[in-house]
Amino acid sequence: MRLTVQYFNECPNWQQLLDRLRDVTANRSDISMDTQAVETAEEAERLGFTGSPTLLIDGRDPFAEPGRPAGLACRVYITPDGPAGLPSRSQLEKLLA
Amino acid sequence: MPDQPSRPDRWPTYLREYHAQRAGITERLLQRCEPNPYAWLLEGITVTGANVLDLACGSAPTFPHLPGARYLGVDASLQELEVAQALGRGPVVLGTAVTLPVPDCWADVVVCSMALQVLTPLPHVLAEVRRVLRPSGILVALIPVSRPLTFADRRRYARLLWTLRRPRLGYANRGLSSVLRRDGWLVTSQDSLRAAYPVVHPSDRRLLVDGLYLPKVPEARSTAAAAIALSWTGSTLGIPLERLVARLK
Repeated sequence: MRLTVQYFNECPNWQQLLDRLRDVTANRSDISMDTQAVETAEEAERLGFTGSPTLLIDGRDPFAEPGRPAGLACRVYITPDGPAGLPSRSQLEKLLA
Repeated sequence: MPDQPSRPDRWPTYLREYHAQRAGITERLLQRCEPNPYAWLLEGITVTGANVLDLACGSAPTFPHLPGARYLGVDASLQELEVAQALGRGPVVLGTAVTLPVPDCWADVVVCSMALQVLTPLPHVLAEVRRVLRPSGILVALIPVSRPLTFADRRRYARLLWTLRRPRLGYANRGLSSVLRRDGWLVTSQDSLRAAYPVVHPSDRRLLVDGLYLPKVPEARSTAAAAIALSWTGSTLGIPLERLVARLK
């Protein structure tokens, strides 16, 4: 399984997502992880990047919201604990189980 | 020093530079006041279990006063958000007031502390607030105004402004309660407060001056303005604030 964290530099939450993923995937040899910086609006459009941070699992966004426009912006995740700037640990664990 | 935002559309650039250089300054200034303006802003507002969007949240000083809320702070300054995160407040996300990263009708309460007077273009900001508020939702805003002040406060501000060579403290948006009414909002309460800022140490005087939006004021004038406050040591300066609570008609 390949995880990609897409982000833009000013996002205050992408590093936290990376840390959370590292934590959740510790000892998982079947998972590889990389990051992809999105630096321009054109790039965001081309990649279909709808907000930072975005997690792709084997190239697919499991939190995709239909109709959400692409662009250099932050993204809000609705978690069991309320809105957040990144998915909750339990959401990630469930996805990666 | 950032350039003067002589046109409203230049305020975002000015604010970005100001808050990058002085992240957390508004909170540092207001939290020294008595009574606490953030507590005053939110007293009587029921937020338990409510979705609360803190618009232009800065360092998220309202967060401790919103227990039980499903809080989300949005600000255009990464540096301010980093202060908020370091204080364990959040979640916070980067975003502008005209493109809020939340779904339609998500918020029960939109809080906007010390920002509505400078958010531009205001019609777009209010349209975005309208979009994210539930039909029964409310907007709670704290804004700087010109009253109430004591006679001594007025004399001090007059001297301060003279030293800064400024006729007044100007913002991009004025007359906000009237603007809201014209925009179709029902202003359900409008209260004012003299928040007393204690002047004790030299750093208090500097913080007071640096905490003002003073585009294109040279450093020497800011320093001179802080110096004239020397005679205020041991007293307080009133910061006049207004709390607006409004809902959609």
